[in-house]
Parts: sequence; C-alpha cells; structure tokens
Amino acid sequence: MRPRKSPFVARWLMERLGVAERNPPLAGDLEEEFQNGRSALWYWRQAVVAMALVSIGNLRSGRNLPVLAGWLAQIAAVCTLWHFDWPHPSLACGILLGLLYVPAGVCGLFVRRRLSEYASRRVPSLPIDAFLTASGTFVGYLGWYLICACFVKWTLYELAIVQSLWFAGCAVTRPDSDSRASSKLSILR
Amino acid sequence: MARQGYLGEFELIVLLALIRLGDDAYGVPIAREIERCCGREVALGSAYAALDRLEEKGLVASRLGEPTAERGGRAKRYFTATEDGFRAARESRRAFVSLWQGVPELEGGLS
Repeated sequence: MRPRKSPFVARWLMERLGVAERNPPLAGDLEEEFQNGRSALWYWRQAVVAMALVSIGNLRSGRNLPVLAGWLAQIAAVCTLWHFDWPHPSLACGILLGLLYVPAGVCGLFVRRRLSEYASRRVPSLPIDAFLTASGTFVGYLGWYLICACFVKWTLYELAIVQSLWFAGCAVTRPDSDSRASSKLSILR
Repeated sequence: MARQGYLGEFELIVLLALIRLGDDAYGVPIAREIERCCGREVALGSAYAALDRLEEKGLVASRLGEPTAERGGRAKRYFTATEDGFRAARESRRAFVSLWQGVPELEGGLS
C-alpha cells in the first residue's frame, strides 16, 4: 500500500521553523499518526501547536535574536528612507511599510543564511548571526528601494508588489547544505 | 543531583501516563493514553514539551530508537520514568489525597 502524503505546506512550515530539525521524533510521530489514519486537519492542528511551542522556546532561549535584529534593521531602514526620501508620509504608507516588514524579514534571514554559508561552514554564534541578519536586512531593504524607486521610477505600490514576489522567491529556497546535514545528523543521533 | 521543581498538572498527567505504559513509551502511545484516561485530545508538541521539562527535572529519561520508513526516516524517542519520577508521582498523590480528605464538598461523585 502506498503511504499517504501528509500536508505539504504544514511539513514545509515545520521544516522552515525548525520543528523537524529540533525535534525529529515529534515530526516522526506526526507522520506515523497520519499514516495510521489521522486526518489532514489533525495534522495541521498538531503542526501549528508544535510550531508555536518551538517559537516560544526560541524566544525564551534567545535563539530569535537574529530575527529581532532583522526587525530593528528594518525600522532603521524605514527611518532612513523617511528622513531622506520619503515623499508623502501617510497612514496608507505606514500600513504598507508594516506589511513590507514580513517579506523584508524573510530577505534578511535569506541574506544571513547565504552570508553565513560563505563566511563559515559552521553555524555562526548568535551575535554574529544577529549582525549578519541586521546588516543584510538593512542593506537589502535600502538597496532594493533605491534601485526600484530611483532608477526604474516605480511607484511605491509597484515596488511593493515586485518586492513581495522577490521575497517570496527567497522564502521558498531550500535550506543550505549545512542545515540539511545537521538535520540528518540530529535524526541519526 | 537532579533539579527538583514544582510538578504541574499536565506534567503529572504525562508522568502518570508514562508510568502506566511502562518501558518503550514514546510520544504517540503517551498522547493516546492521556486521551483514553482523561478524555481530552493532547497535542504531541505539548506532550513533548512536558516530557522535556520532566527530563530537565530528572524525573524522566529518554533514548532514541532506530529510524523507520513509516515515520519519514525519523527515530522514536523512548521515555522511562526514573526513581525520582516515581517518588514525585507518589508525593503528588499523597498531597492530593490529604488535601481531598475532610472536604465535604468533594466527597462522592466518582461514578
């Protein structure tokens, strides 16, 4: 009998958020129960709880320091734009900027991952991780804005659409080889 | 020396389910045992979080089994209650029973 396929998006999110990497037996239990007849809704419920618990654990242990650094860098980038170039500060612009925080954060994490891959074959320490995330986010945000808004003369809304598509592309890239290797190691450990 | 701490309600439930199952208990049977005995669905993530806390307190020990294809190549994590775990469960029972006794409002209603 062919095995059932568990919900792809839930599995993908668990991999992205580190559930499968940090707790392989939990991911295995979910898979086993799903194969034994549990519904996709059950799988999703369990995955959401697992992701929430891992996120809370990350916040408590300081593992989310890079994410926090990325957010601060975004705020710094927006303040810089506001100070020098922002044409018409308004509520709509503020909301749009807020919406851009999420994809910008994804960009920061993506840049950090690439940089750390080149900088060292080992996972960098949290402060270095945070620095790379913050600098990657700041430079990425400003650079993208300057290229699109100044040279191509796009409007803010066009910029937002293209930026979202670009960041979505970054988000779906596979984890680097180090992450995959450490994931396999933790499975085998 | 293992760090002893306050045993929360859910931690106690998980510990008791683990003791009831005996050796070779892992996430799925523990969650099922709790569902069977308590009549409430348990998130496996919550069960693992409680088991991690119990292990930190030295009340539970764990070991990894062999990866299987059915589980997407992931190993089972088997849990066993330690001596401290049994002691903590007994102490909790003693405390609950002594608190229960002599309170007329809590008499009966077990059926």
